[in-house]
Amino acid sequence: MNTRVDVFCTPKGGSKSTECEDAWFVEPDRASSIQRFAIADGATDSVFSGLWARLLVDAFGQNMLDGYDSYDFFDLLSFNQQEWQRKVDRRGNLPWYVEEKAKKGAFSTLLRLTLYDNFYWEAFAVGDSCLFHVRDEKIIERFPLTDSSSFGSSPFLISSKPSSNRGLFNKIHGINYRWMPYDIFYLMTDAVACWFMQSDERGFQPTHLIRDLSQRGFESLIEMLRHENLIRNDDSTIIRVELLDF
Amino acid sequence: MAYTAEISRNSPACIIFLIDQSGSMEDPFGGSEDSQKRKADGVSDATNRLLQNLVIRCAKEDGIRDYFHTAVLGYGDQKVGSAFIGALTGKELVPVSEIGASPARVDERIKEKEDGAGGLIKETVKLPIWFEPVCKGGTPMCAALLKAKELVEGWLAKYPNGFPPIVINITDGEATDGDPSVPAAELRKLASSDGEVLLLNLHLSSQKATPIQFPDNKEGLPDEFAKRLFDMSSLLTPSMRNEAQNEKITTSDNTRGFVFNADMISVIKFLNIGTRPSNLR
Repeated sequence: MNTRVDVFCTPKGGSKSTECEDAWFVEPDRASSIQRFAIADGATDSVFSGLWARLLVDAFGQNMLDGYDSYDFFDLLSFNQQEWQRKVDRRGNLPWYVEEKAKKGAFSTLLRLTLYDNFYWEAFAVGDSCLFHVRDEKIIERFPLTDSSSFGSSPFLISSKPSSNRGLFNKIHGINYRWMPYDIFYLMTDAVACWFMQSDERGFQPTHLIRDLSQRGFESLIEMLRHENLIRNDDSTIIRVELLDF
Repeated sequence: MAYTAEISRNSPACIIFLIDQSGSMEDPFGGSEDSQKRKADGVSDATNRLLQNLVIRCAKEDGIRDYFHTAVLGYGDQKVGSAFIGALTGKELVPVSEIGASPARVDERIKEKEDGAGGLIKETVKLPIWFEPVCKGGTPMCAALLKAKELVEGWLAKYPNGFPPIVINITDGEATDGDPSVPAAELRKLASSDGEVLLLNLHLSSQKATPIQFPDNKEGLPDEFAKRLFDMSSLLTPSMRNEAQNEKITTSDNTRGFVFNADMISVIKFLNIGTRPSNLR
């Protein structure tokens, strides 16, 4: 199984690239029989969100799990919650406002895709980062949200504090299906995912627009969409995974 | 749709607090269990907590994002002016980062909270203080609202398309310089392209009546001052009402930004500056 992978990312308009709170993980071995990809979107309304998003994608991107409903998932989550807290505590001498806000923890979405060389794929997600399965320029699967009206400003997210994750188990969505050579998977954070879905709903075939993007082309596209008020101003990330012929 | 303009560093929002520092604030505060607490203590507590929540809302690990510019105008003793003390003395509209960096002092209190395993743990909580209680002289609320109007006009000239300015008046409602409904109505007519200015009122009373948050009618309000402040208050915007729902506060199309003997901290949560997790409390 061979894949071609590209990642495009641009921070929220008016922000520096170091302030971007989206994170991603891509399989380093593109010829591997099992390949994992993960994307996470740290919440604007918490501190050390970017750190939390990176811990999540690295942990869940690198680790094989029995399933998201297994003890493995929650063990891995617990380990990384402690790691987040250790890294925050090491900062020391935080201003009063960061110290108070850090007590509430950080929050992030998480979406992970696993591809198997037996033509199966599976994914799980918490929050509104989305996966699109595209075949012959048509979107054949949208996950976990299925229409653009589902995007809101208050999704349930994974917290770095255990006490804020009550009910998390019921908020994890899963899916599995089959892939074919030349299929493309897109993992997107919410602002660009919402635009992509809306655009498709209106019949504009956005798959053409992002099929052969470069980073510069992506930045220009997002800038144009923001200028036209067609996309919310937010960190925007796309991972594109193309299944090549064997 | 109105009240949907982005609040960001490129397009910040303006929040002006008007705080009653008149002699009548010396009277007891009916909204407190502590019989020693005066309305002036209620005002300074409410203002300090609102600013604390605003700063925390804008805080990131690399600093405070200037999503808001804020003024705090005190009115009493026949004058209206900046109520800041310490490093911010005399300043009117300032970016929220300056407020976060310059409390007059930071108190510490021990608070008990649940440990998630059925027990309680003690936690040190930091409480920044920007204001001390002040109670002297008459209540020039009309002059305060006119001063707020002046600041808002200046703001709208710079940011004509941003989220509309928000004015929060914290008072016991007894104006001594005329009927405040008139300047309140003039203030609320000002607008950006995204909507009219929002005037919210936090009424602190000596009456020990039941606290009320965001009512949609005057029935049940305990006195004429409360009813007048309710009438002066703007309707909550649709997105504020959605956020209120998330905070388990019931609203209707007639709900106004009025609170009686309770806090208004939830208003800070109602402002949309980006993704706010539904499980963040």
